[in-house]
Amino acid sequence: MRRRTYLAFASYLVLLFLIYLGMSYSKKPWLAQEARRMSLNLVEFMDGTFFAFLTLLPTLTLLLPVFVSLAAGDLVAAESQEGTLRSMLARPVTRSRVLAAKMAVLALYVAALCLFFATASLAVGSLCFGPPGDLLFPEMVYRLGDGLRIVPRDEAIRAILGAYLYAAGAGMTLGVLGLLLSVVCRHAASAAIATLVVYFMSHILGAIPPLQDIRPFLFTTSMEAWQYLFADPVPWGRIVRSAAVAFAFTASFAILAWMLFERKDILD
Amino acid sequence: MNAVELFSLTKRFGRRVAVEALDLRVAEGQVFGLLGRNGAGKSTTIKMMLGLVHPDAGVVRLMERDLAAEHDRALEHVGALVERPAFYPYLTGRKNLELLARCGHSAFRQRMESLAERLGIADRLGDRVGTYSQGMRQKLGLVLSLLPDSRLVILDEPTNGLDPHGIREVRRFLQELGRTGDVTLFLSSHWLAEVEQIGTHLAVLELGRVIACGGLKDLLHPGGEVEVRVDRPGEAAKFLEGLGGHRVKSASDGSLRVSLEEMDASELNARLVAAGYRVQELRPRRATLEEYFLNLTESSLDPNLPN
Repeated sequence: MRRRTYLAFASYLVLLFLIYLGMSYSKKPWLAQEARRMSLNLVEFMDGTFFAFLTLLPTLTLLLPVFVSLAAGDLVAAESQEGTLRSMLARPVTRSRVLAAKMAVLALYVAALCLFFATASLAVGSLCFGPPGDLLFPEMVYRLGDGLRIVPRDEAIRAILGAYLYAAGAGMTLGVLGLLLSVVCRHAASAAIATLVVYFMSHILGAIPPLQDIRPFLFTTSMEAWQYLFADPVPWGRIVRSAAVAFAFTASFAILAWMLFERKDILD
Repeated sequence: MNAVELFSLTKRFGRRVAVEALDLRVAEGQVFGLLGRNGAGKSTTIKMMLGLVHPDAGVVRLMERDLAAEHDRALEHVGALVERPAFYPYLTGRKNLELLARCGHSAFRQRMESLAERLGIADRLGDRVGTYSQGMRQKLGLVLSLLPDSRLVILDEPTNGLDPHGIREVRRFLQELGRTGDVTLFLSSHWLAEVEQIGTHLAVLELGRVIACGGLKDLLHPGGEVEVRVDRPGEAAKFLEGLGGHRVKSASDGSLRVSLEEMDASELNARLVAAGYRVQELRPRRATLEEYFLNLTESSLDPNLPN
């Protein structure tokens, strides 16, 4: 992977800083009112846990897909474009091995990103707003209910780390889709853009009310199942089912990528 | 043993036939030149030989192994430089070689350093390839093609991007390599003088087909034409034409080029001497590779000639 791939780590820190600024200057009257209704002081809940929780949604539904798509789009198309794929494949190494190695690197990258996101959000949140405590959050954020929910500190941290762990696995669905499109496309940028287009199209389809019946079959739906980790009780069956669907999508994309890569003529 | 065997190799891109029923054999130790104009199918052939492009039909055997059935073993001792050399610009030359040659042991490093030394890039192996000139990348590509211990080296335009000194350096290097007989060199080049100087055998491709193939000496010494140096060349030319059955051409250097059709060289000599001409030199004429190539490729496109 090229150096620009690692810019993801730096840009995440910038995002955290922007969220920090937003939190510092936002009044959140609705949340404060709700908290008062429950005889709670909202300020007490503005800590590392809340900050890490707040960054979860934009990170896992927007940033992670963008970074994964960019990295995956590069994997075959960029090497093909620059000719290094030719140098590599003119050696005694099978294409399956090359593709498997690329998939392994992608998996490591997604895992490293998620680990970094989890650690950085908790660390920055703790530094800026104090050490992690109990988590207070409005359930409607994840469509889990209408009120405010308080999650004890350890359980909240477990849920945040679990969300990143799930995203590391489910992120590979999008990553392998990117790899597939990287095999098909001649240019890395086309592959990355195509991956993002498919991702957002799938999201949009899932959000259209008359199309709710197809929602469970969209790969983006299974990628979002980490949100259930914040429900009470946690619907483990649903999470496992979503993980299985994500895995099925990943396996299908991988098989298709492998078949196309095996037949691909390296002309550049 | 044959280092390369191609049987009925065919590749089409849509309706365009890039290579058609190509048969070729290259024996071990040969320095083989694959010639042809742009679009003749040279690069496609080389890419099929390396498994980069899948043939529609036919078989590629390298070092006696079927490429389709035993990909890794067929390419085990094969090194290649295909078109422009490509490296990771953000890695050093050394790291690129280690990564792309998939080798890191000490014997490999010694060979890498000695090859780089021989090609004059050893002191730059620690620099990022992004800072290399085109010529240096070309030389790095040559080093890569010989690692870890290639016995068949396939080079597509090996002197591309080199300055005249670099061309001479690489040519000498390839000449030395070819002379050892330990390595089979398979060269594709537009630089005919290069192939002529270092090649032992060649094939000419035109529209995806082999139109000539054989030893360089045999192809360039067709045996049907002699170069004669005599006193009074103008009169001698008329005398020979008067004998009939010859085509006589006067060359710019004053010599005569006589095609031998109804008599051999010794009889031609005897006739000239008997007629009172002083024959100063008579030798079989050797066409240059350029003449040979241009004649061949131009005549192959002549619509009046049978296919």
